[in-house]
Amino acid sequence: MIHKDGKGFSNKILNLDPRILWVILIVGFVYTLLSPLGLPIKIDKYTLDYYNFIESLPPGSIAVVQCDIESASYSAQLPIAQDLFQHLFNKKIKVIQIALHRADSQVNFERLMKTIDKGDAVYGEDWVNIGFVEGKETAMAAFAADLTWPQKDAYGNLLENLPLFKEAKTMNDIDLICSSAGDYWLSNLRQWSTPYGQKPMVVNSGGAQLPDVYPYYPTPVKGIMNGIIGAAQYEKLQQRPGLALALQDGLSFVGAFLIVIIVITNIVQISTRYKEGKKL
Amino acid sequence: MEIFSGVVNDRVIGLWVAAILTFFIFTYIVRIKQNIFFKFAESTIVGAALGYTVVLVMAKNIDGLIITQAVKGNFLIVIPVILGLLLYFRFAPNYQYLARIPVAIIGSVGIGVGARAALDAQIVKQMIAVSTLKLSADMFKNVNNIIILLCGIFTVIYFFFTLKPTLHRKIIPITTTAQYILFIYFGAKFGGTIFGRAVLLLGRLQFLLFDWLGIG
Amino acid sequence: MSTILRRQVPLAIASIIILIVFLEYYIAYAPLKTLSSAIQQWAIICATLAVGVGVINAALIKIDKIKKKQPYWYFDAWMLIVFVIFVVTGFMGKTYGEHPIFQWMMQYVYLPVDSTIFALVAFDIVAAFYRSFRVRTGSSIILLVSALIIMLWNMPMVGGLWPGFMPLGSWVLDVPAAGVGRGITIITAIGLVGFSIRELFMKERTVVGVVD
Repeated sequence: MIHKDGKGFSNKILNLDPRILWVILIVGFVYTLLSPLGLPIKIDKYTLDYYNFIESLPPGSIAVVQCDIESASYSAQLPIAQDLFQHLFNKKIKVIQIALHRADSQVNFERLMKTIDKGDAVYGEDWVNIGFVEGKETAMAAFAADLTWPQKDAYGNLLENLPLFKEAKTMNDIDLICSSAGDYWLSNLRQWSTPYGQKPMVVNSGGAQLPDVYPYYPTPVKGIMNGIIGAAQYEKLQQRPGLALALQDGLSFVGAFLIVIIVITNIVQISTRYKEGKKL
Repeated sequence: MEIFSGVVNDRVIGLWVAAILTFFIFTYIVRIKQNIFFKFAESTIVGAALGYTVVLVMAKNIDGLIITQAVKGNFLIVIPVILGLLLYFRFAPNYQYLARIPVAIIGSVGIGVGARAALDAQIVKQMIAVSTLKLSADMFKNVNNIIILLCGIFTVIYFFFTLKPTLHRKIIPITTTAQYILFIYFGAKFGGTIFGRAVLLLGRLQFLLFDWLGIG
Repeated sequence: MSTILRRQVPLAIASIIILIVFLEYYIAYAPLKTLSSAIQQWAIICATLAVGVGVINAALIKIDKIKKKQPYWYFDAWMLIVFVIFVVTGFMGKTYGEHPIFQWMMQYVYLPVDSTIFALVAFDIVAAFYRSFRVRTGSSIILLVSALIIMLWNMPMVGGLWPGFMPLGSWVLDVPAAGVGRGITIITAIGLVGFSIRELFMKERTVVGVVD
């Protein structure tokens, strides 16, 4: 019988104190960070489509990016946003950035932009940071109808005075929608893409959202960056090793660790129940 | 190591403060009862969140959406300001009902904006995609398309609670099959979740090792 | 009269607004669009002002706890001190949140705590995987196998060392999971539209804060 406080190897395996697993997890993570193995990674089709679509846009195209780099998921979202913005600036695509989910994104975005090589992009002409605007999906709808609706950018400049908004007045004038805001991709699709003739979108999704994004792929979603794993593949495509690639060994470790735990506990459980003459 | 170099600047102080607060939060996993370290860090973040909310949410948006419009001569902006201020009647026990008017406006606009677009993007467009079965010379692709179609239809029937399996027995095979298909979906979502969460922990360890201790 | 003012007026306002917002999307009529845009902007302004209600409410609760010297009241006092510091430094500088002290506190105080709290979820997920992914029924086998396939597909080293596995993971995501995802997308939208129709007919009282 499997007892919670029972002795015996199978009982110990099946009733392990989770803190032992946590210690192994931390030790493994520290080892992979200090001694990276540099294992090869493969690029999946979603990331490749994402990259190729941005590559196909001519210089001077205009992209609206909802980039919500929350403090809570900073280490996950920063590399993704870095890869996206660096690619947009490299291709000389004009960028309008807005945060609609969390206000701390505005401060984190400032920190991000210090790490981006903007080339000869001029603020106000080639890129604008609107900052955080309250209102969630209602604000999205209002923004799509009039891109100067928030009135001011993050630095107090009136949007109607900025040259970029002379050519971009509504979502109809936008060539690409980039959703880098977690679960908000669906709201971006509903408010920015579908009402304006299925504007092309690229989505930075977490791993759990991939099955939900796929029904909209490849129209209007042209490419999907699968979280930090997608970001690492993107860095490989850009030949620019960065934060995401540095974390890949740790992710491989945690995946392998969990698979080993699951396999061992299930083997012990099944064999124990078989010995006791019980069904699964 | 920068933190032990003897240099005292805002970055070094910041690294120490950040590292200490990080360890305070990590004490949670040791499961100490009445953990004052965790409580201290928790109250710090609650105060900080309220503080930046007042600055970056209220003040910035009041400046942009209200004051800027008023300066431009749009004096009709006083109507939503009055409606918004009705919310503060929540603190007056005899007049709390007045707060329901702005709540009605906020809620109904939010739902209306979401639902009208959902009808188009999520129902109409997806129904078109579901009902358009593209067959080609590739048999593997055809089988896949049929499976996608059936999975979608079975899922909709499963969650359409108007058809109750106890009353409409003919749908029981469909709902039973849908249950198993749903487990594939949930398994796929579960399998994708772990990496998104693990990277958060990796990020903190990366900070402690590379930024704070300066190793590597 | 009192009940009409307290219940029916907010419900009627919600109903009319939903109708206007809905019709504006599907009917091309300029005055309707102007009216709907104005209502949307009013809602956003009300939502902005609503933030203050939450802040005041939180502050009042903490002040009450401090006055009554409830357990750990000194942490509530610290919370209020931090709140005041963030507000004061946030308004210093030319624009909101621009001052170096505010930026420093966001980077070295707020961000570490917020990101570490969410990093704790990784520990809970490991414990959850350990406890829940045990084969008991047919459904649990399907759940387990599906999760293992996607975990292997996501693992960076599997893609690099064993590329032949990738099509299996891609198939699970592209075919059955995507089909279910489509179904769930449709059904959640039906739920949302149904909720808005209930509000249109003044049947949904929770949206105006009336709980029977």
